[in-house]
Amino acid sequence: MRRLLLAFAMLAGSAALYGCATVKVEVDDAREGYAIYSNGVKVCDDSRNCNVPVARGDVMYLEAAKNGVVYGEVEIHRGDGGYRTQTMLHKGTAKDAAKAVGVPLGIAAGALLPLEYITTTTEYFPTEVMIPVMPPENDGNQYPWDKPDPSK
Amino acid sequence: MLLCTAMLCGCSKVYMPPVQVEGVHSDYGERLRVLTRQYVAIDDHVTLVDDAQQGDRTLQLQLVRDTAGVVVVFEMRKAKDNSLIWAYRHIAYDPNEFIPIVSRVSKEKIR
Repeated sequence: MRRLLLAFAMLAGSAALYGCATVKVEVDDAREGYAIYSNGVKVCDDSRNCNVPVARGDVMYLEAAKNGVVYGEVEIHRGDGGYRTQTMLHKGTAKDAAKAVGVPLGIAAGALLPLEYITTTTEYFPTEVMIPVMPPENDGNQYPWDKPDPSK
Repeated sequence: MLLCTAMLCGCSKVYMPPVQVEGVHSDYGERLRVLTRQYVAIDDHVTLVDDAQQGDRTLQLQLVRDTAGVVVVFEMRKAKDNSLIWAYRHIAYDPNEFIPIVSRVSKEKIR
């Protein structure tokens, strides 16, 4: 029962962390605002003020669109923003204590206070992302789309 | 043969008419069509058919010249009433950018 409560508390804590977290999304074009899509769903009308709630999954595919045309995208992963490892100690059994701190100490500690360690790792998305939307620098020479394909 | 394959796997049948181009040489339309066919062929859920009558959906591709590059347009429509199911538009500044765009669309949208 105690284990169940502990697991529930850890799960609720993680859910709260994920629920509150956002990613600030910007584009590298300061002149205009772009609509921002996260995993195919529109999340902001204007990139100049856009904080996107983190996705539940491990990947966020962020796209910047203007007049319905996507000009740039970025894929971010859980863990790109770092991670935190947390070890929690709670009452367990003498066996658990022996496993955690070694047999002699564990038996001694376990006789008085059985211990158990639980380690969890939480991975985070980055808190800020820049989507590149500007055309590549080409010294004014755009690709000659009206000419035949030279690779043919 | 294609029809039999589609009936056996129960996947959706997609007809892809020639790519429409505006201000772009037709070579690039062909390049986009070949690439899209290759990526869609990987997907077990979709079968490309050569006859519009056999398809339950139609995927129309377009290349439209824009000031900075070309807009690659994908439009999926129902074959029976031509109503739009989804559309996706992405800028490309050179033809090598077709690959990531088509890869993404075939994986996330076409199936």
